[in-house]
Amino acid sequence: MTLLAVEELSVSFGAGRDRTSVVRNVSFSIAPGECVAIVGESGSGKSVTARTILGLAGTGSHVDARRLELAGHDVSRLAERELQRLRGDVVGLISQDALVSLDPLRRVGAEVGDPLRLHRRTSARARRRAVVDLLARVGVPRPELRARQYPHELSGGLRQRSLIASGIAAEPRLLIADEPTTALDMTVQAGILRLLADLRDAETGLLLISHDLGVVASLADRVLVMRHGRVIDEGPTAVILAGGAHPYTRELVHAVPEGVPRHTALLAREAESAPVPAQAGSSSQMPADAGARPVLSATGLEKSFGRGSHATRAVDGVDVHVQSGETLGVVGESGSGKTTVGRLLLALTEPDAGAVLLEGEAWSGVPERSRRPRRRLVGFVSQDTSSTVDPRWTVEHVIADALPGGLSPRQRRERAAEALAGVALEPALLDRSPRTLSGGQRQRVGIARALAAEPRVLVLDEPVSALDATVAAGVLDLLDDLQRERGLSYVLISHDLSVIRHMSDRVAVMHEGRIVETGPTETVFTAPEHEYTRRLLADVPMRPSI
Amino acid sequence: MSGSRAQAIVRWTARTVLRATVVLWASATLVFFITRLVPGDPAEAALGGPGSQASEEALDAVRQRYGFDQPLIVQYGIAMLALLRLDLGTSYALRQPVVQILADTVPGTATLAVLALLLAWAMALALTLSHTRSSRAGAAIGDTVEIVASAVPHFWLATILIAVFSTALAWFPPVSTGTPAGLVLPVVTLAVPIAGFLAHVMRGSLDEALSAPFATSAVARGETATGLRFRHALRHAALPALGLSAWAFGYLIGGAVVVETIFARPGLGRSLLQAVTVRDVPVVTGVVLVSALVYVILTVVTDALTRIIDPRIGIVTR
Repeated sequence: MTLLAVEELSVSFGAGRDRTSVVRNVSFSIAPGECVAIVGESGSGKSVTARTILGLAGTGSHVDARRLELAGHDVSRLAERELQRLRGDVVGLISQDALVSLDPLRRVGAEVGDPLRLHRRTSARARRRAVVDLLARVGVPRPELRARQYPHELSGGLRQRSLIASGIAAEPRLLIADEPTTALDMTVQAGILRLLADLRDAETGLLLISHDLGVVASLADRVLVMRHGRVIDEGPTAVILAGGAHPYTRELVHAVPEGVPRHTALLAREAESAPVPAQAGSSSQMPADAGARPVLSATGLEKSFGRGSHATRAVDGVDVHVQSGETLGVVGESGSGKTTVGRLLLALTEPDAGAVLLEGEAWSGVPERSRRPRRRLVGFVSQDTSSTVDPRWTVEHVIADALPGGLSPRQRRERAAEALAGVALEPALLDRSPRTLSGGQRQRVGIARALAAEPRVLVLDEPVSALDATVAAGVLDLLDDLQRERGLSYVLISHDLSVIRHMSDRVAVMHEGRIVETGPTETVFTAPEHEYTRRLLADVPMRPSI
Repeated sequence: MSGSRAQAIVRWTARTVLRATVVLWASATLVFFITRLVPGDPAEAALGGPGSQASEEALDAVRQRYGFDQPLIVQYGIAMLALLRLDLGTSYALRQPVVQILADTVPGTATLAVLALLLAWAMALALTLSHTRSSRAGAAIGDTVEIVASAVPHFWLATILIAVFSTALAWFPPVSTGTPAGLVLPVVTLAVPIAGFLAHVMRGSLDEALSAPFATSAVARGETATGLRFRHALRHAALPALGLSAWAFGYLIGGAVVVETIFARPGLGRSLLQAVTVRDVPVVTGVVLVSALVYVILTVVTDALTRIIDPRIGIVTR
């Protein structure tokens, strides 16, 4: 018996000539206890498909389907009032990013208990008890306390668990999970995935929307690959993860840097520059000899925030050394202090103790005046370039801002165009606003800006975390090429172990402000010595080797 | 947990009282020096203004009595010390203690202002809820109503209301007597512009809240459109409007000058107007200080309310 049957579903927005098709001719079904995953990049129509099942395609949408049946109800023909009765009761939704998906002005318990208030005749008292039970069931410690708190008082993981608790409160037969673990750390993600697996095993049907193939592999029975609104490939999970039948599926699978050796391009390229073996003479080929002076080094770094009893030690005795032309990967969960280390290396924050040296000269503990002429040597690329630039500036302005002074307007424009060419972008983008660019283009502009000042070191803080897999792969390939062409050193800060492993020569694992383990990448990944590193590696959702 | 919360509340209260004191002292100082900057002899003003043609002896006597012959800084010190004793001096024109005049006029104006603010909130809520998420035409009409309402001058609105509801329909008296019916037109006059303004702000944030991800999750749980507005979105919409209410109250006191004069209603506003006309400096000073005090109190109250509604701000943050 099928729980959900979708046949020839099409969704479009607008009317007449402005009409855009977002979902085209999508068919699939889900049985109780089955997990079907839809993978695809942003804009592929996967989320709209999920929302349409809830009758929430959005204002101005046209939904057209031969069959759209949920637990015996024809969703496409139901009135709003009848849909309200299904939502939360027969079908539950877990969206991504619980920080904004829970009402910040209401207590967590009220949000979790809402489906019971709306669909079950229970007293307020019974509901409070049920909420505490639900929170305990999804693994929230101290559920009585958490139910009384507000969303901002909970960590990201606890918020996501609470959101799941609210999704399953009325025990729906179908659960739609839209990127349920995207914003979470590895260990937290592992817990959430176990929870979803338990629900699936308890005969709940699960529709999983994700761009993360690792997550999909650990949960789904069948996978649909969507692109431009169409299902272009589908099959059992193992078949799809092995590359499926469509070239795009293969591209998607290969875009994940997991298990791809260093300096091997993730995306297939034109023949002329096809998989580039590291060129002889490139600095990364020659491990820096012991006597070489590191470009950037820090010893005994300490940094606390807050005062008195509220003080937290964000960085606690950290030593890092970055040699010329190498990538140092700094990996850790949120709150581990890795971003603070990045800020200390950029001299945006002064350490409480310890010192940072740039090319052997004092970089911390000196007046900003003496740092300013050397600032250009250390560049920075953040997770989201659009938030680090003035939204009213053009791309040209953004890049030219990083160029040395004393250039004529024409020279500045030429140099900015060269910088764009260096990151494989068209010079036509110079006059655009960063806001109108795609995520991948924006990140390339951020890299171009960082490189325009001709730095020796780049601090890359989660440079591809906000990007779709294939786009991220392109940016990682670009960073690798640039490093070899220009002998750049990278400090790569990330929570994504596969990115760290693919990009780094050496790795530093951070936990609670300390580096618990450091060494050559492969040694750390294949023979981790510290207990924490082992735990971190064990929590990566594994997929069958490709 | 609760101990530290109590401590935080005590700290917040202490800080708030200290700040309020500084604001009041600053406004008293400002008023003192500004009234002294007005051209003309203060002694002449005390004797009934420039046209009084008082004798030189009489002026000297007044100078001595009010201390106008002392250096300015000494006069300032005396005025501040008197203020600490809640002594605001004596009205030049009415020969009455200013405190007495204020005690007579404040209640009337306070009633007017509080009722006007409540009515403005009610009207703003009604306007907001009737126009959210409506069609493009509906939103345009809502916009127009709000903007016109917030731009209407008090004197014009009062005149129209009197023409329609007193002269033509005879529902309410044109002169505000002590009866409740006499309050209606002045309160409406004061409330309309503020309602338009509050509604405009509220509708913007309500629309934003209704399209926020948490609204989607609420709808996905089976929440109804009404439930979504009242249980979720309205709280978000009320926050910015609440923050503006203290400002609105200051605006109301300014409006009271016009409204009390038009409806011949005794109150703070009318006293202020009369005092300014005859340069009755002690009364002007008194009215300004009372307005500053009310403004400070309201700011503190809206601040406290905001903290209660929005748990994210918390009592601990400054």
